[in-house]
Amino acid sequence: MAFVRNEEKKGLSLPGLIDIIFLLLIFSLVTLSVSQTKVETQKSGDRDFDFDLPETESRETEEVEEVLQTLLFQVEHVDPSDLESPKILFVLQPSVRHSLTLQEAKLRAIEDSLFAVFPENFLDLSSWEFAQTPPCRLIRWAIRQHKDAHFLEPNPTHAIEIRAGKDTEFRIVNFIMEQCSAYGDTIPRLMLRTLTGRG
Amino acid sequence: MAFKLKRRQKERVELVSLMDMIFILLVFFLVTSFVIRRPLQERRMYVPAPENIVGRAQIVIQFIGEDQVFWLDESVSSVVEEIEETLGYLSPVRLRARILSELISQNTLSYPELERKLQQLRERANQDPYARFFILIRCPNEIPYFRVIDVIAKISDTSYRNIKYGCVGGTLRQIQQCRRIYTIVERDEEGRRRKNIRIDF
Repeated sequence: MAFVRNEEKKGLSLPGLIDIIFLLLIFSLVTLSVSQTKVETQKSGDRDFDFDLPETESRETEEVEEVLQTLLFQVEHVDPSDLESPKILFVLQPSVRHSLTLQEAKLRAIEDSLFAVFPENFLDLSSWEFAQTPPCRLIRWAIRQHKDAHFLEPNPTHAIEIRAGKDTEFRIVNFIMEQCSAYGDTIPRLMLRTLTGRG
Repeated sequence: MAFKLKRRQKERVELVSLMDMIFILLVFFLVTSFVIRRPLQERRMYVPAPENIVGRAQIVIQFIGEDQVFWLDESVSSVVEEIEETLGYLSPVRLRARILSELISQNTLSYPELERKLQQLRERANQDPYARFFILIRCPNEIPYFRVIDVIAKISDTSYRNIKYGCVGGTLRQIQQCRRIYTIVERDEEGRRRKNIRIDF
């Protein structure tokens, strides 16, 4: 007697397929928005630095989980999504035990009011007027404070950091550099952290 | 009369083609997520702090825009002398304008040309540990700072660290309106003779 296998053909229904596709679509949309906010730091030494930067697509200065080692000036837009908004300066000070991350230091700067907004017309101001703006006063004060507390004598390893998007105007960075240069060998170096958009 | 509904055959999706589609989608999402995950980057570099000392620049680099610079070095004196000799009959104002337009036309460099000049300077500095160079970088306030930092990084990258620099805000227009550009031979702190550029504003 011949046995006949009586199996029904298995298949998936169309609604199930659409479900899967939509789930994948949602997954990809979610991962896209998450991955856009990630910042990856790339360390480079003093030399062989490729500074041929790509165009900036996002100018938001993201915070990273990195311990702050020295005084850092962070320049960003007041509204990171609006590139026409004024620039704001945050003074990020390291803790005594060097245990603050950049994010924590920024929160502390906000708590301690160690931030100031550049006037919208700061490029039109004279050198003297610019030097009297709140952010410039804050820069002078912060460098002097940090120097008195940490940089007691000339040392080639002393450095102050500047963290800014690559569209930041020369005037702002130059002012910080000028203030450091006033202390000669006590602050002989600057570390520039340039946010370069997507690499 | 009762109508009989014709029974439609239920449409089914083939399992094999469904798996094909899912794998294609999976590959697509993997590739796109790889592209998207190229993150914002923070590039770091150490640069020496500037030394803003007036009147000791052997080279002046004036940024005109993001991609052009005006380069002044010791060759200024020969250009100035030549024009003064040939066009000495002009009024001082016109003579100055002529000198400046000649200097600007001869010494305006594109960014690749600037890089070549800086490379030559670095080679000179690396050959002689006792040579000292001082560059004054002038840049309009509104230009993004990274171009200036790029130049600073390049001139700081020498074996003997014998290229120093100063940094000031300023425009080409201010140079065009200056009273005089000339070179002057002076002795530096170590007693060596050097030709410094002077711009009288």
